[in-house]
Amino acid sequence: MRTVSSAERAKSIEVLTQEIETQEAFVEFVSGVEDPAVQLQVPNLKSMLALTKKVRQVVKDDEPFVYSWFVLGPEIYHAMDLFWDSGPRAEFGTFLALSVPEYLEQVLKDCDRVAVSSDICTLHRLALSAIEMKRSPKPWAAVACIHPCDGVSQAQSAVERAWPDVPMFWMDSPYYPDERGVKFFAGQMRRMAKFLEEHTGKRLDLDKLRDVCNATNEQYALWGEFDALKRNRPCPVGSWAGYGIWNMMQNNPLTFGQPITTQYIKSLITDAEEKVAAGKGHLENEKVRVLFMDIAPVWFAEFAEMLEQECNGVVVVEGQGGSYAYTPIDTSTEESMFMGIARRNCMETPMIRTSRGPVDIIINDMIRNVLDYKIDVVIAPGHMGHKDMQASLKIIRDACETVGAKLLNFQYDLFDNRYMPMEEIRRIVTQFIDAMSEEKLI
Amino acid sequence: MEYLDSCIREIEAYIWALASSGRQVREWKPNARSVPGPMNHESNQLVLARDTAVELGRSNVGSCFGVLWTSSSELVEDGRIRLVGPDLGELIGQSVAFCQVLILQGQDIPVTDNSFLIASSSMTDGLPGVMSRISRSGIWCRISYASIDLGLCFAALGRKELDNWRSRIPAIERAEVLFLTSGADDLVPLQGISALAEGVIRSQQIEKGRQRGYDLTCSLASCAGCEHISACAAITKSVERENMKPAKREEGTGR
Repeated sequence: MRTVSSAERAKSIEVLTQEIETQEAFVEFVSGVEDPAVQLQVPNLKSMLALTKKVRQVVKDDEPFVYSWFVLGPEIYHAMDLFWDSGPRAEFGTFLALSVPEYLEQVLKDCDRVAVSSDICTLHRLALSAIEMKRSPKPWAAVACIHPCDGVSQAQSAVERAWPDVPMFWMDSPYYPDERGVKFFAGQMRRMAKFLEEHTGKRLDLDKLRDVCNATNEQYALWGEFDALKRNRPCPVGSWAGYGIWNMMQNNPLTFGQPITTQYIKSLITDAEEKVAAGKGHLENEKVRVLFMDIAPVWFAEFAEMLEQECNGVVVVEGQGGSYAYTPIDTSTEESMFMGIARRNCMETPMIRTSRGPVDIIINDMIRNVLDYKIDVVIAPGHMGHKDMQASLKIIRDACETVGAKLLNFQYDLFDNRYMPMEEIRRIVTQFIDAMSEEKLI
Repeated sequence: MEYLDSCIREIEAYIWALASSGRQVREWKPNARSVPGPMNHESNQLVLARDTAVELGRSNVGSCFGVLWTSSSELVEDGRIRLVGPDLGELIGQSVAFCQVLILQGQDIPVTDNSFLIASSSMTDGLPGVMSRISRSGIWCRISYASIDLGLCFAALGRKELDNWRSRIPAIERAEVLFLTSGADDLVPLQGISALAEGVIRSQQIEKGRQRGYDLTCSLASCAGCEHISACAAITKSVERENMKPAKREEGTGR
């Protein structure tokens, strides 16, 4: 039987309130910046703030919610009218950590103490530390993500130990991205839906499921249009400009499948189209186009600024982009919807797509991106937790040579700059790009 | 190289069935049309929404893209371009479902490296006013008003694409292409054939792996003689033991 003490609840609310205050200040500041490119990102920032407030309200009112991940069927949670919370989100206190050095230091110290191996991905250790330190509110039920890496399954076992009274569904996944695998994962989704019905009292509404699938199908098509505009040289938008699309489309339950997200993507498309038509790029003198083969690091803003100012470079494609990978969900029957949702979540979402199955997927993604977006430099595979990518380094390097891109490989931590300080990243990247430019290799 | 022959024959049968049911099927012979407009245009060009006369295969209306290959010359009519449904000039202002299938013949077509991927990314290089992108689920194209005004049609598009594939993959001896614009319902069987082809290719990869001494998958059809049988039995026992415990947690099939 799940029990939540008043002290636990108070601890969660305290951190969430601090995070809300920090986010509010940030949104207020950004709203006042006159740069139109910055203004375009305000809806995404506001939606993140609204989400943190929603988490706090759910905790205060003790409403049913599930602990899960964006790759485990948010379509289904939406159709059940079930709020879902994810570890590496508000409880981590992202804005707080980025704004208050003492808080970040404490979070990372907590992270070092969690009951898992220190060499698994820091994202999972951060999520786990939020649970162990009682910052993360205890859910009514949890869906365990045990793919794509061994690190996540290790972390999930620790989550189970930290929340022994929370019923947990262990979502198994296939290896190959074929129809047999999709069918298997669709079966897992059905079992998960039943489990959630049992433990939260919510019911799956198939009409609502169809509606959200149709809405997201349209959003994925729009995402493809936005991505297509980045093929232009010069790139009309800055580094990680599409991150907000991913965040609103996949990671935020309040904007998932909602008109606000459709409108947001359309506004980005309109802005990029105008720039392409006018022959304007994000940079006046774009020289280097980068494919960053990983999810967005917490230091992305610093990295983007360095790349722009010191190398005239822009990250055109990054790990959370790649809209080409998505298949529309066939909403004609219940079976076709579950198959489509399974395909999208297990075979197409970022990281899960590339790290769960054969290396062909990484290579195909990379070659397509290099050719379609005229990439000069590929940065991969460097995150300390992404050992599957590191194991594929030779194959990635060979593929880069085939398509004429230069590969930069160095080690870093997407979430913890103690592993590789920004100054060192700056030195490695600028030296590499300078050397390639001097030799006229890019 | 014969393992996709049955898929190629299925496509032939399907086109015949479509024609028999009244669909318009056009066919152009080799060298029937030249490509209009200036060549050597920068690759991967963009066609903005405002300049788009025809949109093919947007993901919300459906698309299918496939490349099949064979060593049998009788299965491929070199240079043939076929179109099921309206041509570009008849689709102005519309966004329609779209299918494109290339059928290649040659004795030494490199099917295991990245040649197909690279060739498909450069299909419309040199065709101004045409933007295409291959995705995992299909193909999305935009055709500009300007290119339609210049006379672009599927005959010209097909010719250009066949030329591009030949120039990228010299081992191609014969090549033909099929386009379909007659509607989303007509697309479905082709998507099925495409999925079937993927399955056949996968089977071939598994077989090649076995020949090299490693097993890429387990069919679960027969365990007799498998060297991993004792490990599988131990895992199965462990899962069964776990399932006997009082259910504190629900599980998928893996733990």
